[in-house]
Amino acid sequence: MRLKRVIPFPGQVLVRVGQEVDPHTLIAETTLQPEEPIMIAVTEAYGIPPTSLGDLLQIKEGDMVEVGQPLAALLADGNVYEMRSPGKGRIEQVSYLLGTISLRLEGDPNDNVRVVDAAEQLGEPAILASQFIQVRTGDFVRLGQIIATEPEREAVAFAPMQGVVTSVNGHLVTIERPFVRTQVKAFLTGRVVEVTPEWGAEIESEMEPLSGLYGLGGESSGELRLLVSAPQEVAAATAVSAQDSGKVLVAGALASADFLRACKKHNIAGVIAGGVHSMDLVQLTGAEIAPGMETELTLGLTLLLTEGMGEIPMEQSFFAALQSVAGKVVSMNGHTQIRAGVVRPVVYLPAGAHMPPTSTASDNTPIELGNRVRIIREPWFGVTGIVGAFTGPTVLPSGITTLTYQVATDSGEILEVARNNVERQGLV
Amino acid sequence: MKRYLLVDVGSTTTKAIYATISEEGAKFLALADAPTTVEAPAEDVQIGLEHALSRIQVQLDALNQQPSSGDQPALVLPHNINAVDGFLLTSSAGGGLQMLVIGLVRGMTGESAERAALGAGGVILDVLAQDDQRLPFERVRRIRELHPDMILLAGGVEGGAVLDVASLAELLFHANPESRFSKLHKLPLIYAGNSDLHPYLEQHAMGFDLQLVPNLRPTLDREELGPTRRVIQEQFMEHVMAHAPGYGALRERASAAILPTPQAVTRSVHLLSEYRHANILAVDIGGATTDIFSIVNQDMQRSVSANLGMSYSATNVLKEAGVAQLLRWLPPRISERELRDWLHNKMLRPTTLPHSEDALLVEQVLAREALRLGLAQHFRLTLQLKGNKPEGDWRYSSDDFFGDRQRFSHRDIDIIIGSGGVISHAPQATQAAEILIDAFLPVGWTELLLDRHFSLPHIGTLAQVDPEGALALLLQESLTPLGGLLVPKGGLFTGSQKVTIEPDEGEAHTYVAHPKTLTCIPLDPKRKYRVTIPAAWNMDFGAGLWRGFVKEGVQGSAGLYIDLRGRPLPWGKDQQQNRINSSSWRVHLAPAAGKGGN
Repeated sequence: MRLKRVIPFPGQVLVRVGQEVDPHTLIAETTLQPEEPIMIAVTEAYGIPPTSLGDLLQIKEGDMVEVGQPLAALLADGNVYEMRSPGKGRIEQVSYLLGTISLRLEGDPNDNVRVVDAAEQLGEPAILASQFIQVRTGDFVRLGQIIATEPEREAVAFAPMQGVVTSVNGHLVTIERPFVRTQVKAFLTGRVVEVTPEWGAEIESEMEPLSGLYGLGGESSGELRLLVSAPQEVAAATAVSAQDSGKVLVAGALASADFLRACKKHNIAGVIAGGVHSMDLVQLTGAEIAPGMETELTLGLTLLLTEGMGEIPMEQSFFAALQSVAGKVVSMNGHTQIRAGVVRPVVYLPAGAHMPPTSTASDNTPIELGNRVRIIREPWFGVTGIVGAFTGPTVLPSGITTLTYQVATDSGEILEVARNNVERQGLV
Repeated sequence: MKRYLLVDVGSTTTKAIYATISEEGAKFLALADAPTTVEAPAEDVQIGLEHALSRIQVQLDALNQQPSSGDQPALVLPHNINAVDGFLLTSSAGGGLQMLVIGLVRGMTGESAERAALGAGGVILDVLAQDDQRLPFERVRRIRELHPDMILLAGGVEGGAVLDVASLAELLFHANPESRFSKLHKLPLIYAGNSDLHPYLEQHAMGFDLQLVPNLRPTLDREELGPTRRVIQEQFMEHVMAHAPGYGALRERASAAILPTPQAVTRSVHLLSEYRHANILAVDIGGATTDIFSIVNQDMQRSVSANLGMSYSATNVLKEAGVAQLLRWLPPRISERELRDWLHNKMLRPTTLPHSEDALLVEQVLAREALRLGLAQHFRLTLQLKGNKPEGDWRYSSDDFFGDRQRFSHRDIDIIIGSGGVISHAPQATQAAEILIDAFLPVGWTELLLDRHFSLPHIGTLAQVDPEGALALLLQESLTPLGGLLVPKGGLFTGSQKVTIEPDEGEAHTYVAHPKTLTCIPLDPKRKYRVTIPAAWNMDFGAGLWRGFVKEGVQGSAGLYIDLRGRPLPWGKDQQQNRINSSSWRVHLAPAAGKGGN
C-alpha cells in the first residue's frame, strides 16, 4: 500500500526517494506556526484604495520573508514609503479587495519569550508606569496590540509579538508564545517512493490495514503484545508494567477503566480490545463522547475497539491476525468518524500477518443457511453460532415484528435472533 | 381511474408506491423498498429503483390473480412506466441537497439564508458569517473541507453593506471549493444579497455558475425567500440531479420535476393545512437527523437538526440532553452504564433492532429527548426577524428589537404528524402517541397522526401534477389517526376530571382522569367519537376558563389522552424519585365493557 505523509504548511522534507523508513522516521517538518496569520492592512495604512495594492507589492503569495523586508512601497512626493514585514514567515494570502497581506509567522525556539518594559516605551519612571498597563496575566495579545497607554502624553507601548501574557510584574510585561514544530513521521515501515518538495513524501509499505469499529486518539506505533490468550478473556490492570512502555497491548474482551489507567501510567502507545464501557470513557476523558462529532478527545493513548461498548469477545479472526504478529511492530490510528464519510480506526500489521478472509465492516454478502454468524446486539452480543433456519415474521420480546434466524450457538443453545442483529463471520 | 407510480429515492432506501385514484377512493395498491444504489459499486440510482419496481410488479401480479380485485391494476414493468398516468420522484440520495450558506450577520441575513435553503429542502453543511467567531483563514479552510452541491450567499439589505459582503465573496473565491459529484462542472453559486454587488460578482465569480436572484432580505423587516427557494430548486434539478449517478436518465423518465425529499414533505403538510385550516407540526426522526416542519397561520418553517437522531446521532442526543434527562424516563432497573453502552452500540451498529422490552424503552426515550431538543432548535431557527419592529408599535424595547421572539408556541399546534422508524414502527400505537406527547408537550386540544408508510414525500411530489388526488391519498391512505390529546390550559390540576366519549354507533361511556397522570382512554379505531368534558373549576380545555369542551369526530388507534400532569412536567430534584414517578404517570384504562364506565 502507499501512504502520503505531508505537513499542513510548507517546510523541509527530510527523506529522499528510495530511503527505507520505519514508523518513527521523520519525513518532514516546519516551523511555520499553526496559529492565525497576521493580517497587514497595507492600503489602509497608506490611505489609498484597496484596488491599488497591486502597484505597491514587493512580494507575492508563497514568498518567505525576513523581519524588516519591504512588503510594499509607495512613491509619493519623491519619497519612497516602505511597509516592512513585522516578522519572519510566509506570505499566505494577498487580498486585492481588502488591500491586505496575511503573513504566517515562522517560530523560533530560542525567541519565544519577550519582556516589554512599559516604563521605557512610555517614557515614564518605572514606579509610575505600572498604572498604565492595560493587559493582565492570561490575556492573549496580538502583534502590535497596545498593551499600555499614558493618556496625557498619548504615549503607548506595543506587544512585540503575538502570544499570552504570562506575567505583569511592575512595569515589566512578559509575553510568551509556545513554539510549535509541526512534524510528520513515516507511520508505516517501508520505502520512500516519491518526494513532494516542501510538503512531504509518499511511502510504499507492505503493512496491511485491519479496520476496527471504534477508536480514540491519533497515530501511534509500537511492538505488539497480547495480554490474553483467547478473545473472550479480559486482561487485568496488573498485567501492565513499565516494561510495556511504548508498546501496543491487546486486552481481550474488555479494556476496563483500571486497565486504561494503568496503560496511561506506563506510557502505553496503544490498546486493542473488544469493548470498553462507554461510561468509563466519559470518566477517563472527562467529557461526554459523541463520536462522529468530535475526534479530539484523547485518553493519552490510541484505543481501537473491534466490537463496541461493553465486555464483548473480540472477533476470532481479528484476534488470530493479531496473534500472528505478536512481538512485531504495528502502527495504529484511532481516528473514527461515524458520519459524512465513515472513517474507522485502523491497525496496520506487518507483512506475513494472517489477515482475516473478509472484513466484517465491509461485508455485504447475504447470509445463507449454515453460515457462521455473530450476534451484534444485546442480550447475546458477541455470541457466535451457525444459522440453522430462516424464520418468517416473529414477534420479539420487545413487541417488534421482524424476520429472524435460528442460530445454533457454540454452547449448544438455539436462539431466535432478528436478522438485523447478526453479521456474517469471516471464518466459516 | 388514475394510476401513479411514486418513488422516494432516499439516502439508504428507495421507496416506491403504486397508487390508484378513482371515484371509489384513493389507494396504495402496492408498496415496496429496495436499497438505494447511489454509491459504488452500482453508482446508478436506477438499479435500486428497478429492484423496487420489480417488487411492486410482484404485488400487482398477485392482485391481478385475485378474482375480486375489481378494476385490474395496470401492469407496471420496470421498463414500461408509460403504463401509469404519472411517474413522480423525490430524492435525498447521497445525502440530499448539501448546501453551504453564507450570510453577513449570523442572526440576520445568515438566518434568512438558512431558512431559504432549509425551505427549499437543503441540508445545511455550515453557515458562515462575518460574526461567526471564526477567523478568515478558518473560514477558508472550512469552505475547502466541505464539498457542497451548491452555495447560497446573501448579505446586506438593498442599498446597505457592500464591502463586507464582497469580502465574504472574496474568501469564497480564494477557497475555490469543489463540488461533491463532479470536479468538472462549475459549482452553482446563488447570490441573494444586496444587488449593488452584482457587477462585482459578475466580474469575479468566474469559477462558479453564478445565479443572481432578488435580495432575500431587501429591508430589515422584510424577508422574501420565495425567489431564492425557486432558484435553489432549479439548480438542484439542473446541476445536482444531472450529475448524480443515474439521475440524468431518470429525469427524462419522470413526469415532473424531481423534488428534494424535504420539499415534497413540505407540500404534503401544506395540503393538509389548507384542507383542515389547521396549524400543523410534522416531524420525521431518522437515524442521523430530525426534520421538523411547522405551518402556523400559513407560515411554513422547516428546521433540520443534523445531530439529533436515533442511531448515528444517538450519543449526541445523550450529550446534548444530558444523561439525567434520559434516565428520568427509565425505570430504576436500567443502569446508567447500560444506557450508555446501549446508545453507543446503537450508533456503531445502526441497523440493529431492540430485542428486549428494556432496549425498546431506551430507544423510545431517546426519541422523546431527540424530538424535545429538535423542537427547541426549531423554535430557535424560526424566530421572528431581528433588527426590526412592527411599524408604529411604541411598546417594543431594545430587547424586542434584537432579542428572540418565537413565531409560535406549543399552544398553537392543532395537529402533530409523527414519522420515522421509531414512531411509525412502534409495536403499539400508544407508544407512538406517548413519544409525541412527551416530546412536544402540546396544550389544549391536539390531534395526533401517524405517517405509517413514510409516504409524505410521495404525496408531495404527486401534488405537483394532481393536488386533488394527492389530498385524497393523504387523507385515506397516508395518514393514520393515532388519537387526540386534551391538556387543560391553566389551573391547579388538583381535581379529577370526568370525560364522556360517545361512539357514532353505540353507548356513551364516562371515564375519570386523575391529577398528575397521563390517562389513555382506548377507542375503537373503526369508530368516530364525540368527546365531552363538563365544565370544571379553574380549567380551560380550549373553550375558555370554567367552560366545558366538546369535540366531534375523534378517532385513533392509540386512544384519547387526558394529560393532567401539568406544564412543564412535574420533574423534581431527586433523580431516583423522577424515575419512579415517570413510570407511574401513565394510566391505560381498559376498554369499557357493556354499560357505564370506569
